[in-house]
Amino acid sequence: MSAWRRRKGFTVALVFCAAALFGLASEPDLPVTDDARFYVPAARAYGLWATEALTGLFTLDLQPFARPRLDAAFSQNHEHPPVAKYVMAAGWLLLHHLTGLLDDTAACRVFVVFLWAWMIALVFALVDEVRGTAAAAFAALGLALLPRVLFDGHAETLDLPVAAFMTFALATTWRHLERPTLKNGGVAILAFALALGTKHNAPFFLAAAVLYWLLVDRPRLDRLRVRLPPVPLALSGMVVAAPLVVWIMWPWLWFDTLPRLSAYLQYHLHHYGIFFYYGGKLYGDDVAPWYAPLHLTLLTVPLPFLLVAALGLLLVGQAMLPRRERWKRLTADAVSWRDDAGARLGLFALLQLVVQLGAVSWPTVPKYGGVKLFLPVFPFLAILAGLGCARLERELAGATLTARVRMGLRAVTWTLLLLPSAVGVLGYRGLWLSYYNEVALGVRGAAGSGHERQYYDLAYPALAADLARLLPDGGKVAVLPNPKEYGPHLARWQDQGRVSARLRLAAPEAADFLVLTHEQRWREYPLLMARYRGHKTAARLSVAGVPLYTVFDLR
Amino acid sequence: MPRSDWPALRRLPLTVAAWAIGVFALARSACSFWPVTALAERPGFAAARRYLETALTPDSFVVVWPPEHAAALAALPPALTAADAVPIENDHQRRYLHILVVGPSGFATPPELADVRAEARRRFDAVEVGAWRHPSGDRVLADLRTNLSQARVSVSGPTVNVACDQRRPDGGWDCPGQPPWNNVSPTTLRVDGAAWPCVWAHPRAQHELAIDLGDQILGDRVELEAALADDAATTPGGAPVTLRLEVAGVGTSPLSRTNAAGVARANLPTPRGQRRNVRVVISTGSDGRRHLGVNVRVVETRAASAPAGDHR
Repeated sequence: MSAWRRRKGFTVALVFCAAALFGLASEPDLPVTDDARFYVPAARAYGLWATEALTGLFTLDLQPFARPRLDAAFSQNHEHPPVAKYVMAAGWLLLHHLTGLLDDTAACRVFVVFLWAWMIALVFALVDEVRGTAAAAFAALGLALLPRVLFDGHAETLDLPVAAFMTFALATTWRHLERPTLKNGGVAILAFALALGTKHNAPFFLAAAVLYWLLVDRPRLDRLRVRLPPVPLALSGMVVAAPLVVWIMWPWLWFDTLPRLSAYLQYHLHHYGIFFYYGGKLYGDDVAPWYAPLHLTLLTVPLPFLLVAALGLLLVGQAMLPRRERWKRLTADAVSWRDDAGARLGLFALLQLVVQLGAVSWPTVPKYGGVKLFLPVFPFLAILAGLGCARLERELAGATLTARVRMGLRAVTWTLLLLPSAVGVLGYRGLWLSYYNEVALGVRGAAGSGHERQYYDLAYPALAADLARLLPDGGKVAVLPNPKEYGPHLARWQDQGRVSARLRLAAPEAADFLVLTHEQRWREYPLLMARYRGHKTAARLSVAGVPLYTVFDLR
Repeated sequence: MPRSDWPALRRLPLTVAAWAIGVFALARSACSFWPVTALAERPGFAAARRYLETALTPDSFVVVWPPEHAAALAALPPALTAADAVPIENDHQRRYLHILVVGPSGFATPPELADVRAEARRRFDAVEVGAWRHPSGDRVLADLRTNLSQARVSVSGPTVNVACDQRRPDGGWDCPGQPPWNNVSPTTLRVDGAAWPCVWAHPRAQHELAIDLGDQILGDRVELEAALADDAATTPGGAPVTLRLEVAGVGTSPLSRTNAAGVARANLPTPRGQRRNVRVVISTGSDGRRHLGVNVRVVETRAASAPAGDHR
């Protein structure tokens, strides 16, 4: 390995470590999502099975591979493939089961944070490869400071893992398409298999990859016959070998493969409606408008970062324009994409972004949960932002300025472009799912425009503290409009000793306190508020003045 | 920056644009966090509050708006039905027709009310009250199709006596051991050439199909509708279907759907506010191609819109 590659590798490792440290330190006590009750037990079951299976391989005990044992472990959350849950299982085994350092949910989260940091390092490495360290650092920093992604980067769910594995797939596939070798083709297939084994939005990666390949290596028309270029190893392997790798990774499919695969596909093709409050309207079985995902993206990415990414997008478009006389003015200062690896990377990221957004925007696809359903869009956006930043850097480098002035201008530019993101991270600390950008005028403006201020039935640590303060010796608490998720949350807090062991969930008629979450996706919310608002307010959690929950004293 | 470097900025259009965007974003960000004067502490709030009390009708709902002023709810009289969100109701089930919104002067219209008829706003110093009125119409208190999952269904007669208690994914009910068409489920039939949403209730020859809606709080009437699908209504010699609407302690109302296209209707007047059992019983002499759909609704009659208040 050359000294240059070693140095690059070291820098990327440094970025990973810095991101992981920031991720772990930024908010160690983040609200728990309602998905925890699915994925944490699944991580536990898969982790215990993996331990037994590994031990069995050494002791020649094949019992863990028998169908009853496999079904017992993998029937847990079999609606989704296992890779993200293996990642969480690693955290669960190391930090909870073996060492007892953390509770089960926190242990699962640590390894999700590592995936988030890895995703940032991958973006850094890619942009660094084509546009240098400064642009790469901007892309990585901007991605690390996206408040909503930062939340998902801590959450015990599948959304961040699939985004990370798709970024890995993008990096490896792009490198393979640039300089095809057997080795990097194999890695690309494995990367895609990891994404495919994480969540069902991964197959769309392949559609964008094929589209990119056809654009870069265009088919030729020869006597009215379309002649395709040779299919790259990675792409054919993604079709043939990647599903096989997923089958190997997912023991649930080892038996009754076809019925179970069919059940998996049917589940996702006919996903039940989830309530979604958007633009002052309620959606559930009827789906929100197609443009909702794009609109939410535009409202939840800090404006300067969004616009630098838009500049990157324009540059990709500029590089794609044909070098003809009529386009001369537009292409004068740009290198054609055929001679610019950076533009090709931007094009690949752009196609992936469009396909991911397009898939979730399809009119019949359920839309809910803010931006979590299309989280892979954000690392791709960061790559475009890296290209945009490189253009800014080029402008500064081309100006006749003293080195000191140039450095000063760069510092001012970076500060002004990234400070709004940092303000979002700090201002919404721990409540990043409520973040809206400067266009929306924050959560205040977004709530006033009829958008969700929260989702996921979050278990806010502040609520645990409020309940411990209000009912130190236990009592009865009601939660509305959706009490269902708070049973598991309460049990978890009791296990952690955060609230009294004698605290019980109850109907409002029998409760001492009522927790009313201000969630308008529940149709009954306004009437519940009207019914209980006369009671004394005992506690309230707000962000930027917008209430997220209110605790009423019913005694 | 030395003075000689300033002209260089003109050759840095992207950098200067980036600065402008950054400053704009920071300013907007600061605005979004800037503490607001609580609505209840603004001059004019007490007058607005008094006005709300006088403008109130039984179908009024008061909304404190925008959401960051939710704390002002505590300062409103307990008698007001009020929240920090606009109720989102289906048109035919709407309970609150008159929405009064109180907020800082010049507040933006809540998006839920964008398509609702606005009345003139009333200004009280730094506080404003806006009013919106939904069109009035009868209100459906209960609807069989919507609440089918809570209904009880049975088939009884000389050869079969069965509770149809097998839940269907669509919210309907299957009758165990009976032919697949012998179910009660939400469907949409083609009636008189148009789509007609209803509940599939194929009768069974010489048997009674009973659909029990359970105890319902009554409005002013219960409506029963029945129709055969167009292709069934053209079956030569198709038997008529007999329906009977029963409201416990109030009375019954018969309805017959002859072998013809179109919707047959029956109404049973009811005493408002009482809680009574509502059921419908369906039978026929011959069940060949009796593709019947029904609707049952408990309806409250509402007078026409109240006139708009004094909005000077």
